[in-house]
Amino acid sequence: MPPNLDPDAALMLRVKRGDTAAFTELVEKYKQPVMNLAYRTLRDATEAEDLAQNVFVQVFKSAGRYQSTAKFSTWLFTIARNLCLNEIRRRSRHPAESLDAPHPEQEDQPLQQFEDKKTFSPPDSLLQGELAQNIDRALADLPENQRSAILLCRQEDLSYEEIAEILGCSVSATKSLIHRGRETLKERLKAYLRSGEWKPRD
Amino acid sequence: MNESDYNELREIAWRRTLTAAEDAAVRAWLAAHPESRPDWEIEGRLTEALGRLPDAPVPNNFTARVLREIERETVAAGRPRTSRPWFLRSLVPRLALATVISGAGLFLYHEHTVAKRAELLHGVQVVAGVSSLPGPDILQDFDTIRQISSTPGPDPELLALMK
Repeated sequence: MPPNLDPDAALMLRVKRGDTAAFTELVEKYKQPVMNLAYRTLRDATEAEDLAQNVFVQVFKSAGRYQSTAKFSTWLFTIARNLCLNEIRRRSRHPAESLDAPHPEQEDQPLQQFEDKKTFSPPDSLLQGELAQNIDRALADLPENQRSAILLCRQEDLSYEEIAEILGCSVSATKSLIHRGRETLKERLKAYLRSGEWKPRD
Repeated sequence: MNESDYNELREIAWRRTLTAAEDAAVRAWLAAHPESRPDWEIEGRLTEALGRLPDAPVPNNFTARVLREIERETVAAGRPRTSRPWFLRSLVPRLALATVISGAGLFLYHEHTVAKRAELLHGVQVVAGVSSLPGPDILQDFDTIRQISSTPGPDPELLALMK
């Protein structure tokens, strides 16, 4: 084993040999970021859960093909994004109303109740909840590649080169996607971003 | 620091918190270029807002479910039925459907042919019966006889005078 091997790649080498404990460690480490990407791409908690589960099943099944030269997180998010794209394509071929998707008359209602791990005073948490919903909506309206680029950018362990590899484009194209996506978000959220305070709608 | 360096630091700030040295460099740039400050602040607030997005809910038994699914698929893959290559797996039901459709088509064609033959046989039987009828010579004076039958009948008064 090379001395400077990525720790996740080392775990994957153990998974290749059928080590379930190493695989469990990888699932525990990456289930949240994979779920975040899946949920914000599909906007359906149940489908996101199934997709995230499928991502890890694919990782296990493809362990034999994994090259330790590739960074594990890059490989993992490439699988996750490909499955998300497949699901988007499937939805476009067989459009169906999602049970979790908002109905037009319920647009002002929360999409999904999240457990907020950050601590806010009650009024602040209400404002944060509404802000989070607005950011979620603004993100959902972005083109898929811009949204994925911005979401992957939140993963601090991913460099621009790695995000570019996941998205299948150059580093400059990746930065351009992030820039354009952020410009759109700034426009949509300017009321909050200019003042630094979220003002709820009347 | 020039504008290119500033933009590079802006791109780094999209991904992670700047180090103390990077932050100091940005502050120095903003002090020299106050027109960039509002944009920098908005960028910072957007990055912060994106960072504060709540995590998607993950069920407690997520890992256990993944392991169960892998076990289920491994067991299923061990069965000889599913060890067939994917193209055979997708080919078998398609072939079965094609066979059923072709069989139904052949049956309908066969039924159609039998019905046609019966109809033809009936026609031949009708034509065969015609041979027992009188020959065409009998119709030699047909036109004359037909014209006679269409002329007006005898005049009774004329007949009486002739008598």
